[in-house]
Amino acid sequence: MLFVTCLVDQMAPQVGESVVRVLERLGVEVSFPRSQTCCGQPAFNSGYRADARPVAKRFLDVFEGDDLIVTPSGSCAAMVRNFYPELFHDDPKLLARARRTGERVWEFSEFIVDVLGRSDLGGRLEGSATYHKCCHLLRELGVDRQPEALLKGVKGLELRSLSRAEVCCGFGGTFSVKMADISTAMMNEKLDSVQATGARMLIAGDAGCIMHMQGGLRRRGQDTEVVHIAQLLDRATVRPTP
Amino acid sequence: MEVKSGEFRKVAAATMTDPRLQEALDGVYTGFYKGRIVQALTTDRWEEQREQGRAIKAHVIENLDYYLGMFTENVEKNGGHVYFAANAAEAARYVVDLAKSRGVKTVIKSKSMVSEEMGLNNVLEAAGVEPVETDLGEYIIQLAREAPYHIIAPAIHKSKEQVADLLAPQSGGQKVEEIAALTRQAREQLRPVFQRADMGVTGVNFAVAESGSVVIVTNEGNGRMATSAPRIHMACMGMEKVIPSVRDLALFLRILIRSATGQRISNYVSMINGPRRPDEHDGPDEFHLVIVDNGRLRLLADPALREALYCIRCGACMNACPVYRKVGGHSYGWVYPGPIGAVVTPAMTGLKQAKDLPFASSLCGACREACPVKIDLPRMLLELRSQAVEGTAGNIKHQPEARNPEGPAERLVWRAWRFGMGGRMRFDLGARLARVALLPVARRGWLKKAPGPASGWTTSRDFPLPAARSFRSRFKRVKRAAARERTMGGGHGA
Amino acid sequence: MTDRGAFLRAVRVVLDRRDEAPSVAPETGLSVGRDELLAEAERVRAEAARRAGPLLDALAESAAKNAWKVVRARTNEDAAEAVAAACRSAGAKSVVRSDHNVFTRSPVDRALAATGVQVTVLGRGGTASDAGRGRLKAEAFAVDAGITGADYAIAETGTIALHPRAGLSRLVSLAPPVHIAVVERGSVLPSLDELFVLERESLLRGELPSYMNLISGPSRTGDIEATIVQGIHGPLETHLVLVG
Repeated sequence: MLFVTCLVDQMAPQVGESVVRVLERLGVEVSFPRSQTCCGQPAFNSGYRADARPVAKRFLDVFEGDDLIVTPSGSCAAMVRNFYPELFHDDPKLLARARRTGERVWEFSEFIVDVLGRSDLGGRLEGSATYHKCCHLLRELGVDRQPEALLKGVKGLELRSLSRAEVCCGFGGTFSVKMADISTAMMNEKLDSVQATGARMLIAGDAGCIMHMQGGLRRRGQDTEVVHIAQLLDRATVRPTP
Repeated sequence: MEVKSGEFRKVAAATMTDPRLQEALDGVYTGFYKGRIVQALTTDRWEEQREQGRAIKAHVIENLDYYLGMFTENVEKNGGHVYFAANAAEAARYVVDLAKSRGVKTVIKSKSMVSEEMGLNNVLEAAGVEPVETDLGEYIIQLAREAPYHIIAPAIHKSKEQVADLLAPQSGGQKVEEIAALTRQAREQLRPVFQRADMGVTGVNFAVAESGSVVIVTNEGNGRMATSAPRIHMACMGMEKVIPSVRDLALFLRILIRSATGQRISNYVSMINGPRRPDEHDGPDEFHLVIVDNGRLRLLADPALREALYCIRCGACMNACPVYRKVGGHSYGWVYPGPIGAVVTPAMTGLKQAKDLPFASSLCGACREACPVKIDLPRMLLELRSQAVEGTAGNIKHQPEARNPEGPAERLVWRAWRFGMGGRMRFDLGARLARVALLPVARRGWLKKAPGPASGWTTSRDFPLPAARSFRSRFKRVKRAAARERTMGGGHGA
Repeated sequence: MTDRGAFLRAVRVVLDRRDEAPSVAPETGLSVGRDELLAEAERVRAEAARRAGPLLDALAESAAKNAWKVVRARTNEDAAEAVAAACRSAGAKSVVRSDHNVFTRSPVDRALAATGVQVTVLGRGGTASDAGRGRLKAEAFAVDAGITGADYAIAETGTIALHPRAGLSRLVSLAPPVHIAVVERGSVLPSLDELFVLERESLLRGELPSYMNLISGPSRTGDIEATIVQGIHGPLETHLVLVG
């Protein structure tokens, strides 16, 4: 089951398309529960747990079942896996459901490498790129070696090391708006590092961070292309139609 | 210390536009932050030691009354005097009263964050006792009449020129320029003070319950001076500083020092077991200890915030924090900056003034990763956000004055969000409507100015229009195409 | 001042605890019983003796990394000469030395006298009196160098451990601008873990001293523009003479 995330659904659908294509190419039968909306993270992170709870409960209802759930977002996967138990700690039934569901949720790169056991997808893409380590993916899920393996497996891709790759880009959800000046300062430091690599492409694993960095690059007049790792792998593994 | 956390945004903004401050803060990444990482990579069983440190701290905090009782008994057995202070004012009063009753004219201070909570220097001065900070960084900010910028390096924000200006008056106007010379100048200025001081006031890095020991960690020698030269030693500690056993010191010294500065060990570690013995050649005749609450009980009372008391005050969290490295120490407005400051300041001094602090974080988790005792700071920030907004969280309401800081408007926004996320059609419709509404002001799919609450975004970033066709409307087609690809012989690789 | 009973009671109430001892967590050293700890201390001493040579070598290396000026001396006489040489190189004309028992083996006074250095020995002339303490303090701040032994040294961190007591002061290794310490073979422990086993043993035997100093090199600071400077309030330079 694909949990595409509210952000990707409405703001960056091409990322979702890439996820489907890549997974189907790997022999995975991707289904899309149409009732899905959001995992509830924005409200939870802003302190509005009472508003987050019903939205999170709805997620549990929509994604009920035995199928594995794959999502192209480290922060949304972390929300379900790590924070649903906190959100539902008062309700034993929902807590149990949340735990069970959490065990079925996988972030996209994690799924490919750890569940499917694949890291070399036989992909090829010429060009220079650099990779930013999105924070929730890195620290809430502990996922780092998987995207690295997947990117290394793309022939022709010149991966340039990003200085301070592990430092937050400054997105942080509503932080980007609530504390806009701090978010901007962090973003500029990040984009300076990106610029210093001279890479044509910036790759990352979370749509929110991508939106923030992409918006900043545009404003700064930098023409680095920002892509989600799913899009990168999609491009690398596509076969031109005859 | 007066709480100025309400000025967070203003001070943060000023800091971010000051290139010199930004350069000093960037040095925190290349210095302390990188230093800790090197130690973490090269210390045997580093992760195990963090786990063990956390387990010991958790055990002590869960049984704090017991260990405080044991510690107190042993300090007294060693010939020391112990006082319990419910708040900072009481603690300061005890110190001053003792100083006056013993005819103390000059107090030398070695770094103590608790004494900053007490505003001790001001209280001493008002009582006609001369307090002199002796840690170079603290000495500099005492001369500047400022609050510390960082708990390990309090004057990290001062340029050498600024330091030169501050030190010169104490040397009859003689101004030196280079850092080594400035350091020498400070040594010369403070040496006579060490000799004439009647009382040394220090902090406590670790309080060992089974022996009644107070352990102090320094590099400069001022901590040793304060506990060796004057006739009275007064130590101030937060009530959470206890560890159970002498044996545990090996582990805690290791994880504290390597996390704080990236050193293998600090130059001096002093273990004080009471005043000097009768047959000793130097050392204080009297040893006094003030154990301070000052709001820590509130942290203890909230199971969701209790682990903030595991903190061993190493500063690793602020070194790792990308927000701290932009806004600097003064923005937080009280004694403790950075992630730990963002948690303890609202809890100990009230959410009203410090309401911005828990929100001044992107929740990146670098602090938790850096913490030698693995304190889950991001979770506590989230907890405080929920308390700030909803007034209560979980079962404990400890902040009666906690109130939604942004008012009813924000609450409405989240109600609307919740409604919008409550059904797939309204969710989709909401986005479609937003696109339609924004289309007129967008250029090639991008907005230069986002409306309403989102306008902060576009101060520095373009904002994308919602997509013309959502993913959900494209899924069927993508799925069909993918299936076709498979039957035609699959993708390029895969 | 808050009543102690009330303070601790308030803590107990908040923790929802009864006024009784908790079962001790296995992670803390408190969980190790007296007999077990005494046996451990024996093992520590045995290892320090058995591995005396390699531990001394390891200390030489780690101490040098901490900016100790390290000198190896084969014999007690060589050590005395090394101390005199250190004084000479530091231009020290007046010194105070502690009465550590290493100096019953190493004839430091003789070597120093031979080079015209004025030596005051701690513990002679009644320093354990108020007047004596006042004199020592003034002297410690006035002399050119302080000379001490070391009760233990730590190879892991390049550290010496001193316990002030009769004959051994706090200020002699702190106030003079130069500190020279003599460490004998066999007194080096591998790490902080062994040191604190021995400290705990002292505690359990009722012999905990009033103070312990761990010293790992010359005083230093990084408080101005994050630039490390050697030499501030403690000694500006430190010498380690390793005997054996």
